[in-house]
Amino acid sequence: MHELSIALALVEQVRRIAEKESATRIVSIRLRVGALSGVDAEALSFCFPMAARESMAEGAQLIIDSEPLRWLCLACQQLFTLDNNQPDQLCPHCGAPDHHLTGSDDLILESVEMS
Amino acid sequence: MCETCGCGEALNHFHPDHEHLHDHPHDHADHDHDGHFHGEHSHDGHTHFHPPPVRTVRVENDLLAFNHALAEANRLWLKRQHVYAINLISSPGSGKTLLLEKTLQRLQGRIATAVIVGDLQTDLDAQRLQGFGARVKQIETVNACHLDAERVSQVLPGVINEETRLLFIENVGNLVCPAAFDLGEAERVVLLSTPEGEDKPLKYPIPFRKASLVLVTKTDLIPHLTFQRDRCMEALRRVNPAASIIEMSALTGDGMDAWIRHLEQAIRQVG
Repeated sequence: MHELSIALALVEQVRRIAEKESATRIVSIRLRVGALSGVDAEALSFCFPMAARESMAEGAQLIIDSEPLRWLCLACQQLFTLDNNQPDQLCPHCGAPDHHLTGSDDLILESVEMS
Repeated sequence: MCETCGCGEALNHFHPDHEHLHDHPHDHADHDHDGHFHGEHSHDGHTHFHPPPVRTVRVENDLLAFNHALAEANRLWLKRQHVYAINLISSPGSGKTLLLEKTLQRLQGRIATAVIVGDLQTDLDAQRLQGFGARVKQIETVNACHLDAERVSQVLPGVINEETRLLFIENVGNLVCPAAFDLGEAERVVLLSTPEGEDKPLKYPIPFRKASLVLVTKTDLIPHLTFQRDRCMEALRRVNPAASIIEMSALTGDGMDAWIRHLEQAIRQVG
């Protein structure tokens, strides 16, 4: 639900970078969104055009690199993903039952393509 | 002179970084190429435009940098005031306000406490928390689903005084958005009420993942529910093995002693 505020913050940050670079138009924006960031990539993509309206980012392409939610097996220390986040599943590498949730809370503006 | 190639001659030439022919001398003060935006420069007294090159700028900036910076400012300010701040996060209806009522009752006259309460509308929660000797400030977020560091910074000076040692920030009831916004708190506490179900930490892992303490509230209701305590503890352990857990009922007082002890220990950290 807070993706619109994130999108507005994104447009403002991109505007400042573009001004510093003496650019007048944003072509594309690349983000890295971790699974524990609390941001839904689909909702952010939906909000972005509204946030970018009448700014130099209007019409820019938003590219989101999503980092998945992973589980760390406590027996073999391997990382794996689970379908539908089912906690009762066993480690696909060694079959052990104990694993912890891991992932990043990154919400990073990686790069901006501008002209 | 053309700033791109340095020519001052009247001839046709091509600049590799922009894709149009210059026909010199000619009059193209207001020419139009292919609709893109051109950087202006001058050739022998006439003006035309080169397209600015498309380039990629590496940034690697945190998108919430503005909020993080303000949160750090809040944290520093609170530390200087010797105030221990707790950000309380949970679903709506998990018992944050009753917990605070009972907590303020227990702390009254012993620890000077302040409360910032976030809700979409009304100051009903702030009204409930009056009369226990704490300074209470309601933030009505109207449509916003979370508190952010800026809103908190605006009300901090009004709610904290020299005596204050403990600040509760009761966030908007929401297990999704508040998790992403640091407010400058010293500690994040998440409430999980037993009627919500023991699998809530697995379904909404982020707030639990970021909490240092989880309060399992409304334990007095367990006899009326299908709540499985072991599965709840297992779910919390899977999502955040480092979090402390206190099982409690603000209504009956069960577990309140452990919570109050936790607060007393916490404020010793800030002097």
